[in-house]
Amino acid sequence: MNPPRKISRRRFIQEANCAAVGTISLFSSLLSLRLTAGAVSATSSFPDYKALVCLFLNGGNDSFNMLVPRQNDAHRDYVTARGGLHTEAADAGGIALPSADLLPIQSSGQPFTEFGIHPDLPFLQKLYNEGHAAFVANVGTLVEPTTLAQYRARTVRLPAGLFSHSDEQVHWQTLVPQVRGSSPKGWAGRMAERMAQANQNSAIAMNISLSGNNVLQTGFGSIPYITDFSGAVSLNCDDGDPLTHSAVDSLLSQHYQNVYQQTLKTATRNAIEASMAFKTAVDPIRTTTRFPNNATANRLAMISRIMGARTGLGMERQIFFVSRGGWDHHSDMIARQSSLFAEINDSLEAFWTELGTMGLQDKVVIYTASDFARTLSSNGSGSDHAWGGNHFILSGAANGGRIFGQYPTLLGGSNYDIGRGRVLPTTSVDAYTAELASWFGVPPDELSTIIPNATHFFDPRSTPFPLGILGPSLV
Amino acid sequence: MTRALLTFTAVLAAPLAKAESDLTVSPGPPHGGHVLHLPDQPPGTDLQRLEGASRLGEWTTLARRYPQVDWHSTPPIEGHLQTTGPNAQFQDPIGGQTRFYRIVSSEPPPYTAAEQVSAFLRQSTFGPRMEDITSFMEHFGTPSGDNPNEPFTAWVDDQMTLPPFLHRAFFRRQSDPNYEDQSALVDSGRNHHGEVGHDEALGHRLNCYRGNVIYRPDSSCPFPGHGGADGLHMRQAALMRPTLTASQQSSDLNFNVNLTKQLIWFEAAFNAPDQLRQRMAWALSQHFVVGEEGSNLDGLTERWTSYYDIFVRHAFGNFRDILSEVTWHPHMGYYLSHLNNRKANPAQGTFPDENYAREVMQLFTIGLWELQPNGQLLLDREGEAIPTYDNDDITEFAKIFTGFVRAPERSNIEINGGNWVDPMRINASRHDFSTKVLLDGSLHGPFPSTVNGAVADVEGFLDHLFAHPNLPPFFAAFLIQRFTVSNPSPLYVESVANAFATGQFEGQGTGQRGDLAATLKAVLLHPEARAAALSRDPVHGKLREPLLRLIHFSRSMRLQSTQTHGLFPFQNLDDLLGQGPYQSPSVFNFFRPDYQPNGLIADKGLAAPEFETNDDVTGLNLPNALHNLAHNGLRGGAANASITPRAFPQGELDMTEAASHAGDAAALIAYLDLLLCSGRLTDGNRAVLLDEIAAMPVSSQNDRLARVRRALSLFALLPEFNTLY
Repeated sequence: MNPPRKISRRRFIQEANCAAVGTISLFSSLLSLRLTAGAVSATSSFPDYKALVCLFLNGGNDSFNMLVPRQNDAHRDYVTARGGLHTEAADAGGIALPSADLLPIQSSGQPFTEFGIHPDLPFLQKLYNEGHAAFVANVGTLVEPTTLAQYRARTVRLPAGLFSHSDEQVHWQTLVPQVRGSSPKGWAGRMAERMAQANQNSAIAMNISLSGNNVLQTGFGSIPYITDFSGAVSLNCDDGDPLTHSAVDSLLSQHYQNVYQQTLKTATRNAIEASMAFKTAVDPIRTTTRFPNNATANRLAMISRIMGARTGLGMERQIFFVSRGGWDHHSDMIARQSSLFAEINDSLEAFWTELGTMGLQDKVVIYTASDFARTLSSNGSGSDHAWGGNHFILSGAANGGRIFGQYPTLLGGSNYDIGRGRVLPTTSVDAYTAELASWFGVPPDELSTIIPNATHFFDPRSTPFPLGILGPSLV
Repeated sequence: MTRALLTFTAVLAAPLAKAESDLTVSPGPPHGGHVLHLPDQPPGTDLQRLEGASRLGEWTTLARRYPQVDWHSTPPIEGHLQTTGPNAQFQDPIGGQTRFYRIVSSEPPPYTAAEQVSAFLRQSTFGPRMEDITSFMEHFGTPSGDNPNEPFTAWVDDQMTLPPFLHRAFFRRQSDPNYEDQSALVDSGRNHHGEVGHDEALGHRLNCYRGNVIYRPDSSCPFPGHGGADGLHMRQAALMRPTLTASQQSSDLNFNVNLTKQLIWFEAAFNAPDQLRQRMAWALSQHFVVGEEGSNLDGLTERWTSYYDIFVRHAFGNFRDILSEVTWHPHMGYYLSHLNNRKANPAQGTFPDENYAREVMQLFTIGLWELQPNGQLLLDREGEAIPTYDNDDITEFAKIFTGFVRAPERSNIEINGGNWVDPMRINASRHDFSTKVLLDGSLHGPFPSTVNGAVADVEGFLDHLFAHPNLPPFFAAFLIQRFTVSNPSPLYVESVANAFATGQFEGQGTGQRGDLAATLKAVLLHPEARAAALSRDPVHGKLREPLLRLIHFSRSMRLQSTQTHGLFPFQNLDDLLGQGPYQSPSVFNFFRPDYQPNGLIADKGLAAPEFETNDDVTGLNLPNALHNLAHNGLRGGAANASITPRAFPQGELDMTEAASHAGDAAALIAYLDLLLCSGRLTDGNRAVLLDEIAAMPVSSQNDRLARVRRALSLFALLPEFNTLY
């Protein structure tokens, strides 16, 4: 194995001072040079380790087939809205799941108590019944509270580019849906910058992505550290030759006038620096649980290892991003969603078990996000882009065993149906996110910097946990 | 070489600073800002940039000129030129604060003719080999001051006459020794697009026949009749390469069938003479995306290659033909789910699938927001962007894309679960023939309830999108980003859009809207793509696509496959580099056109799409892969970035020519600079490389090869190699 590459500290400090933009990972790298692995500052103001895991269901999960009414009338309305029960018969077209197939759960606080979970999510049912999983019903991107009449008359501001993948994905991550694009930056990026001192000794950014670049974890001056599910990639082109080390170091120390060259140079250099610290801390950590071999589980397994390496990495707070694509089920929805749910279910079960082994079930919150939910009405074999949808949170810290928010009436023509069974959200992504941010340690009076539209929906100072999932229960 | 001519401060409500030279400032209109009176004297050969700043040191370019092009705005667009020509004036809208302005003048870099050719070939091909540069200059001349574009124009014209390398036809040639090339036989109707020559009398499933002998293809047989279960090729391999072990020989062409379409794609990228056509096809395939993720039957070959060949055949044809063929291809029909889409069933409460109706507008034709002819957003009176359509339009147009079913099975095509090659057909009973309201409020239909009525409905709607004023600038901006720069000036976009709209570039072309030959010429021959002076503009250029860097690097050292019949079995490139043929993660392509990496580029309000896939993983995997290519050849294995399946060499670089220069470290570096960086290597990096290489021994050929390998590993990291500018 190659010895860790030595870098020129002087040059590196110069660069950090001169860089037009210093990223957190860049500055963190500097700090890491001062410390031996494993040293943790005693002065951290965030003494309890906590981690957030965002599971982004990319493409728009049809979540009204994930959390389904099971009570008689409500299930009947659901079947009607979905064009009838799904059958294998050709030309059938219905996409409703039969009541008998659903995994039963109960919830207080909703118009009725009997709900069902998709049959391929038995682990979610188990965790819900144990009180460690909660659902939030009908969450969506909103600029301000919106009624059907206001939506139709356009008397409220609405998210830009509603129903479009590229826009709605970004809105979930910036929480500024009135602005098109990623310029407001991601809320987890903003939060990491606010809480940077929690990881003040770390070489690695608080935000770690297992799914590449993303908006969520990109702040004004910070970017996520990105790793492969098999571990960090380090540069091997120097063949362990110290002279070549030094040549690489020099090549990546030039200042370039051209913005693409300078950006690439900085990114390459940061990747090299961070990978050294990352490998040192994470490579020795192994999971004890056997994870399934699939796109989600491989990433969750790696996340477990990074959590296991938190001390070596000098991290009191970690935010992970995992994106799983393939949810844009315009066609063949029933079969495709089943197989994805099975993957999610088995992956989460292994992850939860590993968290238990590490004693972290109370310290970690796993939550789902997705572009949007889908039309209740069928297009013959699937469903199309819509708006409000259902999500879940897994954590030992959650007030689980409940459905939060307001599960809507699914019958067409209701006060929530903006057409074709596109459901008007009744809980904003802002309220959902406030639970996560407040639990993570953002003080109430700073929530609005992380969630700029928060005050449109709740008073961040008096109710930093507006739904009561991860803080004092409101019920 | 670069100097600021003058710098001064403009303070609102105070006497404006004196003009030290011929740049003067006066107060703007009542709503604020400043008007800058730009210098009159010609710039000579220099690039001149007007820069503004609200804080010293944070300069943004507002406008620029260079010998070929008068003053024009550059991204990010802040303010505008009020007048051009003599007495040009620029209005900076930012008022109410102190502003600084300066004009920066830069001499053009003294690129040699060969370097200009290399830069051009880096834009327009899969990357130059040395013989491509010399052959270009022999056949088309060297660019000179008098008519700098003439050789490039001649090369483009020549490329456009070359016979196309058709991916499906190559597959057929490989699969049948008796193959007759009849690829010219193109049925122009909606029947068998791009039909390939084959003897239909041989029967139904092409994979199974060589001559009159049936060979059963299997899941590890990329080309029928080679490798796989028939074993024929294994025996040939044993004779050809006695140094390999038996198991290595037997794996010669024994790959997962999913790789077949990629083996063909790499053959085209590496070896097809019609490089410009193949690059254009690759670009078009990133506009009309179908990827393995979200599709099915990855192991089929004709399904994927017949779709890709749409772009090969029409690369220099017309956009409208592509739009139609893409819409009717069952491969797209599956991917965006208009295949088997049906009209609404009110009794049951089902509606038509909206998928294709949405993406054909958002991604393929008009985009989300109304555009000016120069690609800038059109704004309403409140200064807000104007959506091109709303969700009611989507629901309306979803009705149009109903009734599609697959064509019946027939002979002479790959059959697997039906016909995935021929254009879809209409089942009239499933089509919605009602009148639709188009984007401009006009009525479309009703249509007679026949197959022809449905075709008229679909094609009429595609005509509607094709005629939309957004299409020329929307597609122009896309194409420019794939070939030349990430942040084109509005002037450049408008020029390319104009070529698209009029079907003419510099007076030549079909005169038909959508002429892609004229459009591509405008992309490659516009001064913004060619002027050396622009190399001095910090926001000029782009990060190259990772796949193009991999191929260019390999081509430059003439990667030869020692196994595998000359085919290059790259694999896993999507995981390793974030980009691989047929591997877009979604219909949104590998990168979004407006992606902004944090830091310099986002701070300046610029875009850099290729940075979306450049991260801590892919950003090191690529130089690692190139390092491994240089040292171990095309070879996988746990210790390497496994860009190929096997742990023994599947291909090797031919470094003998490079090694012939390696006796002199400076000569070797100059050789690689021309080949890989088009002469862009900075003095600082040249000195570092010289130190490194000159210290290595040089007495034997092995020494010289070692120098080449080390130099290649370091070049792979250079921003000068990884970007265009």
